[in-house]
Amino acid sequence: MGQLLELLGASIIGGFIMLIGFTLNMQISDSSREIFQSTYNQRSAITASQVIEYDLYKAGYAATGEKVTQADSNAVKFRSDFDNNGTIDTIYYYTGAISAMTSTSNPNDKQLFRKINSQSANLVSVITRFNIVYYDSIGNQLSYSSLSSSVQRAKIRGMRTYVKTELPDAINNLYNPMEWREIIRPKNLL
Amino acid sequence: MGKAVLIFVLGSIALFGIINFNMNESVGVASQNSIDKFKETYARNIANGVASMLVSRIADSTTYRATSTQNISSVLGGSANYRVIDTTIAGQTYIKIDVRGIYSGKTKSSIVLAQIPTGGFIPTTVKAAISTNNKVVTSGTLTVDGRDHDLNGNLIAGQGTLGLWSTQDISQDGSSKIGGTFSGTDYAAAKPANSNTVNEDATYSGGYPNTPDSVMGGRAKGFPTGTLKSLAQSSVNGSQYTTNPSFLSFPLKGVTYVELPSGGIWTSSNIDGTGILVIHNSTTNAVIKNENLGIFKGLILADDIVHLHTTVIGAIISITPSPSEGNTIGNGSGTVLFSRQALINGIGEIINAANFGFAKTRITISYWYE
Repeated sequence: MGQLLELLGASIIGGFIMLIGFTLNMQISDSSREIFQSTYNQRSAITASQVIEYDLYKAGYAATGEKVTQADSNAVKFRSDFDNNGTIDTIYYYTGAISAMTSTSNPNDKQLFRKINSQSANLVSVITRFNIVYYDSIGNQLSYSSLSSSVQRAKIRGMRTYVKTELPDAINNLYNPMEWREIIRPKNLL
Repeated sequence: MGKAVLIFVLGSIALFGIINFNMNESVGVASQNSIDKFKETYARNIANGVASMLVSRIADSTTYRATSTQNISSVLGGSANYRVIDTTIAGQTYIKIDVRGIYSGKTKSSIVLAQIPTGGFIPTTVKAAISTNNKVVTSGTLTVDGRDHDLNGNLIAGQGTLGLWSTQDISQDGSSKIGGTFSGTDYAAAKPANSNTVNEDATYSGGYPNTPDSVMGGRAKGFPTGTLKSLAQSSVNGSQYTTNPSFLSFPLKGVTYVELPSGGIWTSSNIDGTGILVIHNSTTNAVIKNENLGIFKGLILADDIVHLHTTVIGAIISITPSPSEGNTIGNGSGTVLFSRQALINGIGEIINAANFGFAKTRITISYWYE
């Protein structure tokens, strides 16, 4: 009887220890996955920011005439000799459709594209939101409706870019968003 | 059972250790991403900062160049190297400032293309010491000398222009004297004037300019309509804009733009100063009369200018075809001495003034690659 009780007690204690171990492993595994994904997510945001920064800081460089040819909330097209080779290029940033992202469970993710002249567009990053706000020389926000006019677009002196990236698939129902926001004042628009 | 639990616990600890190590690595990578971003931003700030310093340096000394790479070992917490050279792009010559900013192993570059400062110029509308679009009469002891002079009124041989040029008649009355330069030959101011020093009933090709900006050469010369007025209103380099000349501060500098009401007269005027003096209104009948005080060095652009009793070193252009008082431009002891240097300096006071730079020369930045 005594041995039976001892065996029962040891089994219960052992079971608890194993349960704790399993739980700990699961939690560590989740955290690990979350951190891995977050790092990936952060990398996506930084990559997008680096590409956008690289181009936007050069907006208007060496270009004469109209420098910003399209200015929407989620798309911008401008002229610049961005590669400094003596030829003026047209750079176009725009987002793809949410419905195009069929392989991920995130309901909001979409592709951010960068198109140079008439070349086929390149994927910059997968994002969930891409937004640009335009400012004039004294920092007043220019309305999107006004920016259909080239006269108004010529007043653009600053652009606040906003990129939000999320995980392609949720971990514990969270997509761990990462945001990048920066006001870029291209010197060649001055 | 006890052994199995022990093995399980030890295995768990090992697994935890491995996963924890990987997690730490991921956290480290995430931190490094942020740090790299910071470093790149800082390196860009260094590059732009050094480029700005070099622009100011060129503004101090427009001949400054660094044709071989120069290193700055410590600047804004990092380092930089740079070159300043002349370069030609699409037929246009620029000063190229090429800077690399370095911060903690990250490098960012900035290339600035600045226009080589040209300073002032002599507008093609300046046909003589006094150019008018109307009948003009010299009277009293007025002296109009189209020979070239320095800023102090000393004669410079062989480089002058006509004394008087008009689309209509020129009359020389009283004891007034007119001199000038024709084909490199100087003619001292005299009465009667040598016929080579005046040109009356002349034709202005393309039509006589009817605004101050068009007198300056218009858009082609960087003076689209409204430029002089806006420069004056911006107060650049001491410029002034007024509708009431009694509010002017002296000496005049830069662009002094006096916009009078229709038929308005600025009389008993002080014109002491330098630069460009504009007396104009939209009906082209603003009058400056009895300029009694001060010496003006530069260019006077007036709709209607009469009774000059002081000294102008530079040139005068009258715009109106319908002057008041028969346009007796001087009936006393006034003197107009043509001076290339005074015109170049006067106009140079505001050329490129609306652009970049803090030193004695204003530098126009054409492009900034970063």
